[in-house]
Amino acid sequence: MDKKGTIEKWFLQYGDMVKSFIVYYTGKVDVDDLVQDVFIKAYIQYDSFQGSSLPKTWLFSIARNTAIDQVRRQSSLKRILDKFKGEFYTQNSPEELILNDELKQVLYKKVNTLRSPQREVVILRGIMQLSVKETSDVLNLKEKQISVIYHRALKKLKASFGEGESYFESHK
Amino acid sequence: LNRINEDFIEKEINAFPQFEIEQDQKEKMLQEIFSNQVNRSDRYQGVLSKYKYVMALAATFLISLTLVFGWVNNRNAEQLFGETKILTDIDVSIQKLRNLSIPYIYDKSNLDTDIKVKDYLSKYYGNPALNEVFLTWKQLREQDGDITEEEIENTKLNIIFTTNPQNADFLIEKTSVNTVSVTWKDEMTGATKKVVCKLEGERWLISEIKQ
Repeated sequence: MDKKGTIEKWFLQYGDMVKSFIVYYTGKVDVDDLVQDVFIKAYIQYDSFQGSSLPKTWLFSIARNTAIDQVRRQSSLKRILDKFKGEFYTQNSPEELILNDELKQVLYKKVNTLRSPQREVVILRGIMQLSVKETSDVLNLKEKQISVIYHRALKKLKASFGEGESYFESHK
Repeated sequence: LNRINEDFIEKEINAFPQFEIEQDQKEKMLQEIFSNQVNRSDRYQGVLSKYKYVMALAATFLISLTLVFGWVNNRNAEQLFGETKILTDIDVSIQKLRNLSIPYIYDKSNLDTDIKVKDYLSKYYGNPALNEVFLTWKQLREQDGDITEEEIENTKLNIIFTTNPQNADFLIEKTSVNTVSVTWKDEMTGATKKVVCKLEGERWLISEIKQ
């Protein structure tokens, strides 16, 4: 199959997964343009694709870099404007835009308070349900590290439910 | 509350909804990916060949220096004029300015005088860019409110908003023995960014911001 055919096949096969990943990584729902960018980059960098990694994890790596750029740019602008304008954006929070279920909203909010790489591991391993091997390929970490990080992240999330604004305490 | 253990949390996380690209949107996106990529790919190849040419010239020049003066070895030259080194230095310079512009980071720094701030910036920027970013940053810090996004976007400080040039289409051109101009397309806005960098010691400083 030629390069164009391969990219098209990957887009149809993994496009939705890439979209979901970027949505949870950036906290934005309208990310089709970023998904498109991922596949444009994949096409351009196709020759550098190593057969040793899977197309899926390679695409997730590109998606991760794309999402990082987006978040960095977004947060810089927002923080600066918040500071100078002295006001906060009034739009819905990302968790409200993404999730209807209130518990999941609380959980997603807590996931976003985790530090890297815990947050990334939870998104890739937990939300996207990538295998330990796939997650380790995307993040360039050892498989053993992924398992430890994921376990610790879940423990931290569990502990956070016992603190202050407990979901169940406020919804009895 | 007892229900919430690691297994419960993992199951909840596993059940987060997944998002799909709408079918008609998929077809449109595929068309755009391949129509865009033709131009981008051609340009990328062009950039690559131009870059190779520039690097070949740079390498030749530096190898000559090595032979004549013996004070630059090939390894150093390759590292200093390498694509990764130049782009990484640019990204670090942008990040340093960005950190200075993020209130909660700046407020924790010890850069409490103009002299300290300028000294800090001078490690990453050369003139005239150094003066331009410093004065703009100072003006924004001191101004009381009413600074619009447009005002920020129209200043040299706007460089902090750009995507990492390493993740974009870029072109590196050698403009003198120790200067290069680097152009890249901002992934988010599509705008072209251009900086001139000057080699100071073993670091590329951004000396001009043209955008």
